[in-house]
Amino acid sequence: MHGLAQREGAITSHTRYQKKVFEDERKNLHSPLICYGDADLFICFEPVEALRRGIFASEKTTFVLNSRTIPGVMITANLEEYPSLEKIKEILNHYTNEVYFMNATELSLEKFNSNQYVNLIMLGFAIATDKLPFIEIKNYEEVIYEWLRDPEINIKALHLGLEEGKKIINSQ
Amino acid sequence: MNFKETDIINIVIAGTAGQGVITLKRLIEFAAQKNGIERVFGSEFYDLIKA
Repeated sequence: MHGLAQREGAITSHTRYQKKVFEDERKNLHSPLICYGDADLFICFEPVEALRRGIFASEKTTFVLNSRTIPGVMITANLEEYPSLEKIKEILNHYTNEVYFMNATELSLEKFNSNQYVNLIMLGFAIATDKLPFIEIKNYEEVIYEWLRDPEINIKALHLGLEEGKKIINSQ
Repeated sequence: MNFKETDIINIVIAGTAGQGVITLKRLIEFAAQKNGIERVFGSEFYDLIKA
């Protein structure tokens, strides 16, 4: 469904791929939806959104989260309380120990004077976890050149996320 | 973690409206197709909530 999302409304997407298919079609990928507990990687642009879709996580999941919070209406109206990042990490640690935070919004503002490159920084961060196998950096670069405005800046953001992501993952 | 070529890779991308969730999803899918990955699927969920 398109056109129904509200500002600050939750958006989730599932991406699934299989490099080589089996001859036996029954073993192959057929559905665009991930089964509960079957996600290999969570890329979260907002910490609470990770909790909202936690049902897809399990011990095999790796979380990469942008630590910049976007409080919802109920929180800004003081009717609910936003959980601390420590609390969010504690909850996610019930699934897995592989929970990594990066303030991608701050990084994007600092390096590019805009927060429009958060998604590419987060992609670089996700690649650093090795949970996006088989797809090479040059494949992303080709697509960025074909589809996005300001491709050079987007590619810089991708590499920035990759470098910073490696530092964060290696430090834990 | 080592994946086999026949493994199914599952990625969830979560965020709020306007953050580039769908752009990133499509970017990963198109990059996978460029790589020659044989099967790529995706789905998108738009919640109706405002908070």
